[in-house]
Amino acid sequence: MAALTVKNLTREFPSGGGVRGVSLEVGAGEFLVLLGPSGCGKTTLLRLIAGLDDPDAGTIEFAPRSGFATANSRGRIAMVFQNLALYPHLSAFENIAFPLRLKKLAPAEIDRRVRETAARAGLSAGLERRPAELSGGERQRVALARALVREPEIILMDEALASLDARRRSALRLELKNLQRTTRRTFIYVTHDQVEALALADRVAVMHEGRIEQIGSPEEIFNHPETEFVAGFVGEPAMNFFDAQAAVDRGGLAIAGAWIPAVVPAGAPEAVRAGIRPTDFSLEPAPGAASIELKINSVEFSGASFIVRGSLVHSGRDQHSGARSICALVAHRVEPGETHRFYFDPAKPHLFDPESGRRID
Amino acid sequence: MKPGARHSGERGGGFAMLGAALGGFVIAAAVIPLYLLAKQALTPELETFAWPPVWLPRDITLRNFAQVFMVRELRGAIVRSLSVGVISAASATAMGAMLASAMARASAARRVGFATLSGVRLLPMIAVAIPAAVMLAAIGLYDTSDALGLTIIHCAIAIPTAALTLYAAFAAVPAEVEEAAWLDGASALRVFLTIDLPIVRGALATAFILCFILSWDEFGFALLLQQTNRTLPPLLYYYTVFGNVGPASALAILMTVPALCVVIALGPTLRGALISGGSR
Repeated sequence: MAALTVKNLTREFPSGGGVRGVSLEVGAGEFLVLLGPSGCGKTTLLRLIAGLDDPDAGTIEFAPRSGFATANSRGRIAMVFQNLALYPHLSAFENIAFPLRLKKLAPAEIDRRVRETAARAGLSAGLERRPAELSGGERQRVALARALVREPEIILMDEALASLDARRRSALRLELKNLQRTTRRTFIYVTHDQVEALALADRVAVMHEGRIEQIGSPEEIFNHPETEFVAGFVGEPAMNFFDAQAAVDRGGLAIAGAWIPAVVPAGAPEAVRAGIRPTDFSLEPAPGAASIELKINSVEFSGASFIVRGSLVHSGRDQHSGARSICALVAHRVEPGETHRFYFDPAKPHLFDPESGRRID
Repeated sequence: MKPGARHSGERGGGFAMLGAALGGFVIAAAVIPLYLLAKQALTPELETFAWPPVWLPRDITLRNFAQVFMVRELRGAIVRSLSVGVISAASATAMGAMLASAMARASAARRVGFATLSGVRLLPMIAVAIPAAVMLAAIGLYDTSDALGLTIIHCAIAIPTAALTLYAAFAAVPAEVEEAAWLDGASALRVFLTIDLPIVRGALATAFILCFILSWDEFGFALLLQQTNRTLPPLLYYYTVFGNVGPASALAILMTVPALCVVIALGPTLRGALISGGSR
């Protein structure tokens, strides 16, 4: 059942940004992540859903429920802002209690619910302190508890973990995911961090220039990107792209004079954009593997693997391949200046239409 | 030492000396009259008008203060000045807060607000004094013993001061904090009262004090509107024109007491607020 249905939503700003004709369905209890670069409209979409801004066109509908008018969605939605927006003059306790005090609940009931929710958000001590006296992580938890305490159906989060350092961010990310599972609330989470998006989401909606480029499970987004933008935005290090000539009959791609065997779908145009992820390369030959030869320019050790950048070595006279530097993740160290052969599964390259940016299957 | 560094050092020294000289002048301009005032208040009138002038008091006396307190009108004037000041400053701060809040959030309000406030500030007050007096007389608020008419005028004069003092403080409240409160279920009025006002409370205190001093010190309208039911500044004026320089000086010293109390009590806070336009 859909908790929220967005239809053809448009909101544009004179200064740019905004959303253009976005349609979206969010299931009840789903963790949806809106992912995109800054200015892609993800925050605008979130603010429209929250009712903090009005759309130029389009509708937002909440699942019908007795006792609530569809027009008044405030009670069903809570939001955690990027800057957290805690009330600076109130203690952590009073910050969390604020929505309950507005509902004029009995003091004992407020006390019980605040302490319960604070504990659930991982806050046990320090409830009497003000936001300025709390650490970044504690402030984060207060904001989360304030959103949870009135038991909304949908919780909106705008880059909510962005202010934390990497270690605390990944810890809180896990807690957040658990919290969503145990509370069975619908979460809509905005981020520009694709690692965060893939880790948290049931479904990811990748946004670009005010539109949703693709919406799907993290695996779909990563393994089957529908557009060149999605392919390039998701994945770290980013996918390598080439301008290539596709030859369906010979089963391969010509990249700047070099011939690379690859699975080319029937009906592909002659000129394509080919993309291959750095993680798809290997130094070990495998049966049936295609390969390219790279002259290594730089090597970085990343702990689990080596990030190698190199340029294509090929017999052709044309040195211009569209990809100046190709990135590959390999298991053992190679040295700059050396030339190595990198193997990959010929089914791995993703092909995109250079005109529309759409995937070719 | 590099020649360049020495050069800039010398120039810096020159500026510092000029600055010190200007600062000294400003301090002298403020302190010397205050000193003379205090001396006049504490010495017999003979000494005030002695020639050649006497710079150090010879004969200290509290007679001038005693004389001021014997004036029947004084009690009424103090009560009236306090009531006009407190009521006008409180209402101006309240209205200024609403205006500043609107100006901090809506660009239309900001444009209209700044234009209007600067307009009011640039307008010569004497230009509105006569029509204001006529209008107040028409509704029976001219020279009343509670000085309600003067309170209204002082409030109107003080609103720009209050709004401009409070504007920066309201602008510094993140919009998301208000939005969060709205999403938590608070009405716009509720957000203003329970979120905005407590956050800007320091600036509210500053605005109130500035407005109070503005009214406490205001002479023109007070002279015109309260011909018989006087406030302190006109009372002081009549003392002086009737030649009672000693008691007038004593009264003037007494009038600085509220300002001194405020400066001593809120010194650092107020100084910051006066410089920054009340942002904290």
